Amino acid sequence: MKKLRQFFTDTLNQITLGRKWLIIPMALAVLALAYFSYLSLAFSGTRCTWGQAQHGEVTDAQSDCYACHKKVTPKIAQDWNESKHGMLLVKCYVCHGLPDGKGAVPFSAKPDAKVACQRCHAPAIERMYTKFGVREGCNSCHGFHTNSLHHDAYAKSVSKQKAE
Amino acid sequence: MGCTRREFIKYSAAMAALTFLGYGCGRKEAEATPDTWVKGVCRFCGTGCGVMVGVRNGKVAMVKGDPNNHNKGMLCLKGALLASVINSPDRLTTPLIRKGGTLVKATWEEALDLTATRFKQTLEQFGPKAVAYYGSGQALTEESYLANKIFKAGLKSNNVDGNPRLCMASAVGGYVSTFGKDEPMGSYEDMDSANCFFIIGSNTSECHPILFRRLAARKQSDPSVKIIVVDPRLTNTARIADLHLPVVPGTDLALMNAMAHVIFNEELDDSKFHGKYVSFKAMVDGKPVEKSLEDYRTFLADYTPEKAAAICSVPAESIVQAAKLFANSSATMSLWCMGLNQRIQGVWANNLVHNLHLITGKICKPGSTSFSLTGQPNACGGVRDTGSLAHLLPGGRLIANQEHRNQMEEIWGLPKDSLNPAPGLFTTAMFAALGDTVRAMLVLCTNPAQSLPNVKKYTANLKKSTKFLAIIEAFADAETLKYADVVFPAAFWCEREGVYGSGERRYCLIEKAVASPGEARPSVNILLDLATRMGVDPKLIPFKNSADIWEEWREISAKSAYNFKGMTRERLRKTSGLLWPCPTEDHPGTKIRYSRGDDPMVPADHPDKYFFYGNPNGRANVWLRPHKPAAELPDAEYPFILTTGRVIDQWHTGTMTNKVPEIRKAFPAAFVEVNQEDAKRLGIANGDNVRLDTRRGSLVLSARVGEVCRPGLVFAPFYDAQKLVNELTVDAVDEASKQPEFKICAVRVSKA
Amino acid sequence: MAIASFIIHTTRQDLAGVKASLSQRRDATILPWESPPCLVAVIERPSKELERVEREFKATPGVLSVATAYLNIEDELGGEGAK
Repeated sequence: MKKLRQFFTDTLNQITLGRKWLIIPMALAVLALAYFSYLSLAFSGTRCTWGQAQHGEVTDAQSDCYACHKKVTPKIAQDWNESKHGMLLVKCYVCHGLPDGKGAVPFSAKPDAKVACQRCHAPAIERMYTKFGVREGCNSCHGFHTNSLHHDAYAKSVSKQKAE
Repeated sequence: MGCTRREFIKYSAAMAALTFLGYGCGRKEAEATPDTWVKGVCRFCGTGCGVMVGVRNGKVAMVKGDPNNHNKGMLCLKGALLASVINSPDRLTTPLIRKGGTLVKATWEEALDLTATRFKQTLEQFGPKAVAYYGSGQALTEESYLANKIFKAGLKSNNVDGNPRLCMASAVGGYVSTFGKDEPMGSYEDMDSANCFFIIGSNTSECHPILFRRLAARKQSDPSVKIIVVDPRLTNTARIADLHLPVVPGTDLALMNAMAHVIFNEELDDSKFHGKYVSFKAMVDGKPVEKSLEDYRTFLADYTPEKAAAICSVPAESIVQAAKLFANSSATMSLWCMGLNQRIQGVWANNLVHNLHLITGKICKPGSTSFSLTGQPNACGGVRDTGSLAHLLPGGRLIANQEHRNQMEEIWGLPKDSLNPAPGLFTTAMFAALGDTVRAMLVLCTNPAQSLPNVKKYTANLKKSTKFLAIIEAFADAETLKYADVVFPAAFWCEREGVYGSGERRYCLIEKAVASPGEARPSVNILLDLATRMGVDPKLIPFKNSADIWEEWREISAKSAYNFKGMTRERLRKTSGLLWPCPTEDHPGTKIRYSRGDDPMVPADHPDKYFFYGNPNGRANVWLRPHKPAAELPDAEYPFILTTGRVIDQWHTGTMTNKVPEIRKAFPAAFVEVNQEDAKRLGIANGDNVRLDTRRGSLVLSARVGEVCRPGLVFAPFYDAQKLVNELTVDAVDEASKQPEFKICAVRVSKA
Repeated sequence: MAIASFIIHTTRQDLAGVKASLSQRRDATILPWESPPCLVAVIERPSKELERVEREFKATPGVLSVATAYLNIEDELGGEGAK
């Protein structure tokens, strides 16, 4: 265990400091990856990857992200559903991409605001930039999933509760 | 740095995790910063959102909303993912000719020659009635105008129709019979000032998401804004409704007559408005007859809310409430789409919406308008305005009207009385005659083998060897390719330049952003080449590109009420769209038609504020239209009603949306929505296979059980080429508009 | 014994707290990652217990989600299938 911890620390140090030592963990990484891909290919039935472990094969029409995330991430799913994005059916994959990473949108739990928000909110981003300069992302003030429509049906939504 | 095998596995485990986090050779978020941005219009629905196409290394890298267009930079999920469609590898790159049953690659010369020869032979042997053109509300305005001219003026064949017949024909019939001129009088801007929305037969949230966003934003800014949704399904649109009326499909004529009844009964009508600007009319023995207000009130006396409630299966109080909300608001906007149009009473249903606005005077004022939503991006500008339908000529003229024909003969430089005076075959009649009286057909930019109603009946004709079918298409997997004899690869969307006209009379230029793949060419050039080889008089087609065609069409428009002479190509290049009428180059475009001071077609010194110049007496018509049932009603054998439609992710026949991996995964296959009570009775659980039988065909779809459909109703989307829902639908058509009743047919539902 | 790695998502604020509580485990090697804020945990446990371990990770305050990244159960299979 100690060795492994050391490996991490080394790797991190070398990445951050950019020493020529980098070559060793990189080589190891390549080896490890080769081994990993060999395993994936050889035992495809038993491999366990992000996409599959978390999402399973998309086999039927029931597998809309929301249908499952209602159960596995109920708070996030419900927030989205009640938010403007949910109301207007800006669905998960528009910003988050596909779990198998084969889509046009890069799969990410936290999408890059520079790309994802830009598609629709370029004018607003420009306005904010002029007003306040560069910010880290949009989400720190404008919750992607918590910006609700003010309407009876959404009285329960998180942003409204916070406001009250 | 030695390590044991176990440690090595642990490193592997760590590396596997790190890879997903973007370390090492893991994938980085694509920093797709385009080199240039080119202005255009979204390729999907009739909302006509402005887009900016980001180009990097000659490829479309990204699409974002155009901040200067009506959508203010917003896009729905389909628009935001458009880049995957144009970059799809499933594009047609060479012409194809059917040889021995299969389509094989051919040269342009071979394909053009073969098509022109077959058309010429057909013309010689069977005359102009045997050739046909089937166009699309997705083709550019220039393409539709050109094809219309080639066939009607060049080949003297009026067999020119298109998929707007399946989509918009009843809306055209409604506007023309009520106001004398086609197209809405209002604009999307009315949504910002309306205080009541009457949404009937439209799932705006899924089919026109950006317009739904706008009206949801209106509701958010002012909670007193009321939204009435009339839809047999509890759609996402109904989520923001104050009043949802889940009427039995096909009963909305009774509903709207009952609303008119309540409006008069409660004295909520605007007698000053309807006294001055409205004529009452009814059809008697197939002829329009002038009626009085008293006649109208007598006619409405039959439609008490109680009686309508029994027909529609909604509470009478809700009908009264809807009428009061409609009439009491300071500005009411109606929105409808296929729910009213795709019906055998489509034109009548359209008339009845206009009636409600005319009797309450809620029309031609900011926020008060009767607004038909459009399904395709260029059905309005491209097909309706250019008259590319079997009974029309450009600028709202009718083929059956000799004066109109003579006008077009003069404009096109044809000898007097040389245009064919007999209207051509409308869509379903055209495909019914294919292989029989129609022998050669050209299809542009549409997929009839999937989108026609009762489609098996028509694909049987498409298979006939006595027909010749040439299609101009961009995608290699479109269903209609299976039946084509010649296929021309078309440049897609922003691979060529041209104009799209959206639902609000907005004309917008799509500029060329990227080159087309392989040998694909702009459809305008394909049509010109074909026409030349078919021997069409070169004087009729003196065009080199779409800009030349636009110049001619712009000039011609000045001779009609669809005047957009002020929209030069240069101006369209600079702006993000203009709304006609726009007669001069300094005219800003028109937001409200028929209103003095707003509409340049109404003289500035006109004595009245409103002038419905489309009708000879300057008044709009309120039609007395009785309730009539659908063509096929449920019975003991087929006890359910099947309705078809769309989901937000997929668009029409899916040839474009299925190119987007995100969408393909989210909605891979068609499904059927069943009401939970019905499902319980039939023993159907969520995800079960359900068999649908109609008099025309059967289909097995996976069930989605819930409360979306009202009891007795099932819904299935039509995008899935593997599960052709249109094999089940009826092809009965509206008597006036000839639009088929996709929305209602009787079906038996059972667990498969 | 099986060897597995998990990606444990958290928020930037909770990252330190989650790291502290997970570091108490003796069966896990934990590596925090800044962007996106998450931790990588390498676990050595019999495979039958891995689901429980995953649940424990999920139950840790501040954890948003847990994803399995790697699983190797070769050693548990012993010499089966070998010559």
